[in-house]
Amino acid sequence: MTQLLRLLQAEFIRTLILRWRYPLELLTGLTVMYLIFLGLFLGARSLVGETTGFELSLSGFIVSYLMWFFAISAISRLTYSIEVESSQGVLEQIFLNYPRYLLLQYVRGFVDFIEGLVFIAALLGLIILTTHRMLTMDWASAGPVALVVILTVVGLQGFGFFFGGLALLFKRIGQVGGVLQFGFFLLAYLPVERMSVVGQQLLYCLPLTQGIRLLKIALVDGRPIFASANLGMLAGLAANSACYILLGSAFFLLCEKKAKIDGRLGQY
Amino acid sequence: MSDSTVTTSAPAFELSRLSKTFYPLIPWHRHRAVTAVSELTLNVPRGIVFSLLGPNGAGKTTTIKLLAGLILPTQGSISFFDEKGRLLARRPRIGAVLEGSRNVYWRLSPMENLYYFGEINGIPRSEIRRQAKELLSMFDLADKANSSVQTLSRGMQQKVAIALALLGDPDLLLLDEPTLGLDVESARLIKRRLRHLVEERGKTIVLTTHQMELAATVADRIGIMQEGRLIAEDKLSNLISFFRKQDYEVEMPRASWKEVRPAASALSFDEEECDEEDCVRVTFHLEDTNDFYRLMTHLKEQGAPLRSIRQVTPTLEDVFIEITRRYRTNATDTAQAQGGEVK
Ligand SMILES: Nc1ncnc2c1ncn2[C@@H]1O[C@H](COP(=O)(O)OP(=O)(O)OP(=O)(O)O)[C@@H](O)[C@H]1O
Ligand SMILES: [Mg+2]
Repeated sequence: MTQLLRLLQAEFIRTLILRWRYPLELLTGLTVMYLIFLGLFLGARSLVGETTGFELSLSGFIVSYLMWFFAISAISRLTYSIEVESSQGVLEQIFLNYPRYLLLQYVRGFVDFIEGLVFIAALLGLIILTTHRMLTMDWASAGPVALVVILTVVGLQGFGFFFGGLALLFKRIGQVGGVLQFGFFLLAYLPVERMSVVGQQLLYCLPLTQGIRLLKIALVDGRPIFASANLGMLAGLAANSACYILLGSAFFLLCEKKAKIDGRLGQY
Repeated sequence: MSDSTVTTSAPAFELSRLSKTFYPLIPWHRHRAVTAVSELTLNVPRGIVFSLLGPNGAGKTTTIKLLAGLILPTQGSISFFDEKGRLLARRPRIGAVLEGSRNVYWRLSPMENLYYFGEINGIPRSEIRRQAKELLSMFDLADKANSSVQTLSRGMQQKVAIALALLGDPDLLLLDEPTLGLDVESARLIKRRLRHLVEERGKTIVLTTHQMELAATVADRIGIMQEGRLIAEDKLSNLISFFRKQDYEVEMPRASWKEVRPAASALSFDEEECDEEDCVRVTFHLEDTNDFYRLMTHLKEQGAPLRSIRQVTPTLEDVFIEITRRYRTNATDTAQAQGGEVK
């Protein structure tokens, strides 16, 4: 347990040092995310006009956008860091010093989530300044919202482990990551509620969709998540995320073993 | 080659018929499988420097990575032992410098790298603090301690990797071409440090290198690999005395050699030009001491004025070349005898 805390501390410090030393990366990231949002926002407004319909869906739009950010960061972080670290030989150094790599990646996922929250807070600040739109949120719903966000991110990171595992074996799979980011963008904005039952069932099996649906209930409609009508959905989200993190981890462990068999931890 | 001296000390680790074959990921490329290590059986005692030599592609790096647990073996096993000779259930803490890559975070400084890896390794924090400083100043990196590794020279990066391997005082060190790219001074420092670790601290070190001179000065035992096999393994002195021949190198004026030559024709020798003018260097390959007396008699009879005479002791390099050459011809013979194709 203390070792886990030390990992956590080491990872936090490493992240802080890197962000401090290379601030441009973070600023560029923030700017790009903001500009994409601005483009979408202005585009949508010019299409729909400033009608009440637009006003209503704006909150949902923002929620989807923020959750999309978690999806991309969960997937790209792991694959990108594995690509870079294996080419520099750092991966082997990590395995020499801490062989339980999956555990280390959980810790990194957590640090990444915290970092993502800070990032999102900044992004949301910019968005609010631009759109003059506050998300409806009172203190009572903060806990449930946090729970839903965490559950969703766990599922997304579990999904990311599939690609992290593939990155261990095949290295350059960054291009696949780009396609996935687009895929998740569609997923975040798809009007799932208006689809056929079968379509809904299928889409709710993917990560992200259930989380966004629950968040919209709280943040757009202003209804409580912990109402009895929503508990089924909440359980569904928990089960979905548990599946992804378990299967993703198992797949990741398999790939790790295969990488050790094929001598692919290094830059070979 | 058999070992004449009995090693009394406890083993550090034991490889037992260790084999590694790399299969390509794509199923229909499986015929391109490479056997990097083949039936390697080896027992390395604690408290020595064991140097693994071999031509490119012999399987040295693969052996090191198998020991480090970075590669899983296809067959065979590796056992590690504690200082009392008891079998360890798990791989002990190992410090390693891997070939060619720096194995550290380029964007972090040497100090930050030492702290990060020390922390995740679980080394007590007070130890990290003390050793990080000590290691960096030992390797002359104190003034670069806080600049990011990517701004350091290649040799400095290599030294950071070595410092990292030494952090936490591991009992077993695996060093794959550790002195690659180091300047004379640093290479010397490392040699001294390695001897110190072994002699004063009882550490065990496995080192691969292509620098015979390095192996000859730091290694207690030498293993020579070729095509994945361990083809010789012994103390350096045993290897050398096994190949010691009655070779004498005589330098004399060209005119005298002309006169001696017919008489010496029964002996086997090579001749070459000296550095000086009108001088020949003849190396006699003698069978025994009688041959030596015979040679001396010839020289005396002709009254040859000798410029110099010395017995030639083989260096590790000579031994290495001889052993690998013999292995190659043997392998070729066997292949031909079996009607196989010679690669
Ligand atoms: N991960 C890998 N996948 C496939 N083949 C590999 C892998 N690693 C090594 N090999 C092959 O195994 C053989 C032994 O390689 P190894 O790197 O162990 O040699 P080495 O003795 O370290 O050589 P060098 O002196 O050049 O460093 C080579 O034929 C190499 O191509
Ligand atoms: Mg090598």
